[in-house]
Amino acid sequence: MTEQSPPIAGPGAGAASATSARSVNWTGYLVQYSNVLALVAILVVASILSPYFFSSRNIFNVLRGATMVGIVAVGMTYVILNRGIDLSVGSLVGLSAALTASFAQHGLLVAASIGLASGLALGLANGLMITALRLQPFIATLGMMIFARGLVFVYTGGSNIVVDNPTDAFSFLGSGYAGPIPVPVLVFIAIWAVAAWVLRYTVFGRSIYAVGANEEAARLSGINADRNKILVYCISGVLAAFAGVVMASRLTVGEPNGGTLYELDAIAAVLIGGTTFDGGVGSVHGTVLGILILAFLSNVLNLLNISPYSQMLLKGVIIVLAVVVSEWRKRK
Amino acid sequence: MRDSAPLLRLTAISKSFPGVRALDGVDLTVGAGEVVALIGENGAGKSTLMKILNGIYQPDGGEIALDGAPVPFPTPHAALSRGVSMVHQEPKLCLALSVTENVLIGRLPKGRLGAIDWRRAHERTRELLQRVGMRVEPTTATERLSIAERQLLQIAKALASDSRLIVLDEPTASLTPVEVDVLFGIVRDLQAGGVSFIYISHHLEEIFRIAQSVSVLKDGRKVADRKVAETTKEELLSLMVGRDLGNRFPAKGRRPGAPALEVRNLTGRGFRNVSFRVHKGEVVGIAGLVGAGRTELARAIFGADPIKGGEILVNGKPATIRNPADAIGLGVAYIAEDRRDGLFMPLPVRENITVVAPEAIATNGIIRERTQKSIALDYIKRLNIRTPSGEQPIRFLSGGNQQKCILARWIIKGVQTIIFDEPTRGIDVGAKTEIYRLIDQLASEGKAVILISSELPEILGMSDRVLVMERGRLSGEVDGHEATEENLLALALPTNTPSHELQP
Repeated sequence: MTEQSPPIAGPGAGAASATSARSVNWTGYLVQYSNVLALVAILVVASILSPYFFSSRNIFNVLRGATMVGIVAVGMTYVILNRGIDLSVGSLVGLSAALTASFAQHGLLVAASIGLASGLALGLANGLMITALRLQPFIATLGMMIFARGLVFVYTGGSNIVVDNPTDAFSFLGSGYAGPIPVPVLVFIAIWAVAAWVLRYTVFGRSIYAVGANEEAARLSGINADRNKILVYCISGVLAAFAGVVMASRLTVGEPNGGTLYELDAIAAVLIGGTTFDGGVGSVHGTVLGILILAFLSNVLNLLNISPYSQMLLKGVIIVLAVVVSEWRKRK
Repeated sequence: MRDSAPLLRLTAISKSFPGVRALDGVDLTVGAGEVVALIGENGAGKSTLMKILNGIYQPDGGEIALDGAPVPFPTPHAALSRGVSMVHQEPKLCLALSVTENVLIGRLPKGRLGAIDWRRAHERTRELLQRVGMRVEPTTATERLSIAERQLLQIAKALASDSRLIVLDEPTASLTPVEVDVLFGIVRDLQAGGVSFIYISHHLEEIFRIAQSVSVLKDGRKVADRKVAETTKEELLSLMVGRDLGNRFPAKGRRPGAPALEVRNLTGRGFRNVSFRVHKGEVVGIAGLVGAGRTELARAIFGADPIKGGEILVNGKPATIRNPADAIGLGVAYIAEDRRDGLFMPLPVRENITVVAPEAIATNGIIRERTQKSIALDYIKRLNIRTPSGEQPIRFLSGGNQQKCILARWIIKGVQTIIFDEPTRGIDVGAKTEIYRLIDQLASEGKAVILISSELPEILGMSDRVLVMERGRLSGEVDGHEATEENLLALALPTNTPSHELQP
């Protein structure tokens, strides 16, 4: 402490070697990778119980079914890391799906652009309510959830918008295949990869963690916290809208109730994936695990002929357990 | 005051956590009506010991005896029921609730049908508040009380449960000298009534004012018991750190250069018409009582809060600072009073160190992680930050090391002016000395430093010039060589204060 040190503000001084011996801590690992283990356990049990489970047809069906909530959940991960919540995403899925379906005759590109624009606009509105009006995210997006669902009902008149003679090009995004792999699954993987990369390797991504971990500290560090939040809600809105585009392409129908409850499934996946409501902790990879756990679990239960009602009991327990485990992880 | 069986006797208390022996055979005795000071660097085991006493932790070994009889303390509630309670440094109060509810929490008197008898509750509270010298209405919302009042409220709460032993954990950390006098007066009154205190503090001066004996902890062991009358501050310091500290402050001999930051007639919430200038290579201290407007002034200069009037000049040129990003862009940094306002607790040290300087670690918004890692490790080494690695979440570091991470941030950013707001609050003596040395080194290398501190020795030891604030205005400036505790206090205290309070 009393020794002379090199100039602290000048150049020089080499990198310190700061490696520490780590002892193997099995309970620690168990807690750390509990969600991976849960997924593996589900897959093992499933393959024992049902010979049909590991057919590529079944696997890809499950994955394709999970993509829409999955895309929404990626956006939700950003929001929750930022210490927010976005309850409006389900309604934004429905709105975008209805718009996309009703403009289908102009081609997927035009229709999708209109759907995505709706998500961007309402996501931006969420962000502005939360920053400029200083509303709690829960309240702002609850309002938006109801408002946007209202828009869907007004726009559709409460009945399905059916795409007349949908072209293969229109359906490709939701129903197409690239070899054995469904197109939406590939699209989801691309979104996952980009979203994870942005979070980990960009200044913007790290700012999402910083603002989520401590907004005041972020502000005092020169980070524009408001702009960061607005962008996050825009991304969540656009991703929800994109899920709506996939939905319209898949079903060739815009349903007024499309996307209902997606917000809760997405939040569940994010939580199971280890992202915490306190902000600043978690990852997109975790969320993808959460999505897979939920999707394969309900697939297994379906294969075992367990009624959807009973399935809900199990899902509720799993969500709560997942949060308990991530609290343990935090305390470790 | 002492009779044969002391009120509290801790014998050979030990406690280990994975990898750490937090307490190793610690003994402690407190007599009835006695104030025992407990001192030691952060991490010496004070908090652990107090948590055991309050039933928050279970000891691995040893015995706790009250009035000579061994007692287990399985839960905080049980500790409370045996007359032991704790006054926390940062009060754990329900701010939205009334004073009565906080004082009598868990013991609100019930009337018929099990409903709360509010009239009796408020009466009892008024009585308790009187014992701690508070004159607020029991129905006041607790959030409207000052920090000092909240401390007193906690003591009232302890009295409500008929506590015979009250642990005061750094009670004066956020109090003004006048408030400290009030607190000490109340402690003495209660002491006369037979209440005992364990007094934890980093302020050694206070120990000599209030305690009868002092126990020193170091690395989980008790290294000394002394009668306060038979020891000195220097002896206690050397017992705490296990070595003679010599001069705690680096020698001054700096040569101020060109003006780095100047404010003219700056006015904002909490301060008005403040004008001063800080030069490169200079440490300017800002002294004053808590609430004198120092933090408000600093935050306004930094763009964290709006200004209402006046000018800020950076390097001699008028500057527009509307938010912290503007200030940082102009080379002005602010290290917040509350360390938690600067930390991203769940994030690794590496990111906490580099967060303000994206230009140093990223190209077109894309982070070069290898560069980021090597910069972080470089500064971990240069500033002697004790962490197992750059990937350690910063919440696991001690306060002093956290503070050094925050400082590293601004050095990497290459700012010209750094405003330190209470940079050593709540950190141990060893880390304090390191922070002083770093501040001195920064100034010697040409940075302009503003040092806001409520610890006068720190201001005196570090500053080339001292500005004093009093109730929102600049009340004076004293040269660093001429400043004394007395002349600074005279400027800091409200002018209508009776002179007997001027004694430090």
